[in-house]
Amino acid sequence: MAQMRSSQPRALTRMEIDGGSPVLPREVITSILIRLPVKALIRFQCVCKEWKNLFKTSSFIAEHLQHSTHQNPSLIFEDYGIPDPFRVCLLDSEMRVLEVQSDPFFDSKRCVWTINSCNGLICLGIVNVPRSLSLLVWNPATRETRLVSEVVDGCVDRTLHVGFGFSQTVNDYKIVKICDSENDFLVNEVEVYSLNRGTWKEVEFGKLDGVGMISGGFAFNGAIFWVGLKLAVDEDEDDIEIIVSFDIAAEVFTLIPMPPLPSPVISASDRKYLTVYGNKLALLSHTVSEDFKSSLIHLWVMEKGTCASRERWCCTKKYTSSPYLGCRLGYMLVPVTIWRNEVVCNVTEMPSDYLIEDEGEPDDERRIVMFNITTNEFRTLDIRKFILGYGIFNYSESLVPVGNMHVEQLCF
Amino acid sequence: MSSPVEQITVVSSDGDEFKMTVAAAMQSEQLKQMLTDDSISIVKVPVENISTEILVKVIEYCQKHADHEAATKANGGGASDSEAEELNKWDAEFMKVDVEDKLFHILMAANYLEIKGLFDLACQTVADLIKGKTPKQIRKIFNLKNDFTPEEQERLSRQHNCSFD
Repeated sequence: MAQMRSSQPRALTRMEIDGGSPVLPREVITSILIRLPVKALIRFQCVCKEWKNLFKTSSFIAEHLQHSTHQNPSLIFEDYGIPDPFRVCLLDSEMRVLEVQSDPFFDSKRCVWTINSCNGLICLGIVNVPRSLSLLVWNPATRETRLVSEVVDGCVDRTLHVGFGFSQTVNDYKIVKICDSENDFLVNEVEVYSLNRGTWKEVEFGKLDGVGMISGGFAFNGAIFWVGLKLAVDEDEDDIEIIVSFDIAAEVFTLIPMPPLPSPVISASDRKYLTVYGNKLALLSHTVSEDFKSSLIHLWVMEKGTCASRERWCCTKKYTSSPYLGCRLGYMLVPVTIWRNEVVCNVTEMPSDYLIEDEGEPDDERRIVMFNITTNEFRTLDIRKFILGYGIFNYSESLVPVGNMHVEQLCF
Repeated sequence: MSSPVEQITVVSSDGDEFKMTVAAAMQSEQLKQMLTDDSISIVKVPVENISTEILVKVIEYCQKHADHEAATKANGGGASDSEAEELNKWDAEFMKVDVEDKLFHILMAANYLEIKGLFDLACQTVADLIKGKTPKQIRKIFNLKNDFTPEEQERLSRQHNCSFD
């Protein structure tokens, strides 16, 4: 709503009519413009200077992003490529699949993967030949790209866990690079890149002593989260899964206990995913029945500070799906994110140890299954036509700029 | 106020009077303020910059949405998906106006009377209407001048691969 101060009677100015159409006040025009797709806004930069400058203001960008997230939350599906070039498809809120025009940078056959999507920016990791790692920040809507310095040290050969997120407090996007050594898989180096500063810097990670990272980073509410494993100190103790949290503004790590998940039936492939539900951090886990015939999805919501003692995290189990029987033997559902009140699940092959019998020619299980959290109904999305292998991320288009290093602006 | 007010009268800029139920009037923050303020006794509310044609439309919107709210409340809270969809369809039909200008007038009326639902709806309708247009058409609609210098125009055109026409 345009800035409204509703108490006192306003001066009732007659609307200026010029050639028939009323002249709209600036706030009203802004309210219209934030509802436009990025493609249109880029074109409308040419309308007049005022509009061109308006689209660059952080308040307009923020309002536009907020509206975009609310009105048209989308899903990004990435195709890992190899040998084909990296591809990204977008599923919008009207269930239309659009192929996102890739930057020419991706056309060479490098291995590209999505690290995370945040506020309309996508952070990608790219392994080059000769072996080095590049990180790219990409806004697919404005088609801006920014190459973050290539990593040429030995870190490439070690396992890399990267996170990408935004902090309102410092108004900055940061990339967090966590390295561990292949030997013992424990964290031994952490570096942070700030988009505002344009530089890398090493960061203290004492809290991560004895911790190895399992999942990729997920950003929410000014922090980045990973699923990690705290290795047991004593031989007879178990390793404990935990959630590692990185405060983007303060650049500080914290460890958060996991929800009380049941022991998995299949331990080898027990990936958990962090996501957002009801504007809170949430965790998705899954179980398979002992006969491997049905899959169940669990959603845990993490609440901070609602426990009796000071700031602690607790988890409430928010949702368990009805059993999904639709997979053939040998496949299970892995929930990866929540989108528009539905849990989005990949249909994944079970590790071969668990396959009971050879069922002959496997049918093409490339589909996505979605569970509606309210109705508990599921539906299938056939994505075979679009991509071969997929990572799935929530995305809303925005005008957020990537900055001015190595920027290639290709506009419409 | 002595007795509860059931209806209020609004007067358009053309001088025509229209009755509005209180429920409908409450859709407008402006009117709501006046109704809930005991110090103001309302007889007739002049809305000086809203013509009869537009006022009729606005009242129609308010009444429909007030009725929908009342029905929802009677059913005990949440509107069902189908009811929400039905209202959306009604809204879409409602916004189908024959002349573009009428749309802007409705938008301005919703802005002035602070009817959030109608304001958002009208903004979205205008956005959908203009998103495919050229900069030249946009300038005409919003009465804007092209204030770029020829050099700036050339640079922008190349940079953004768009035309100024």
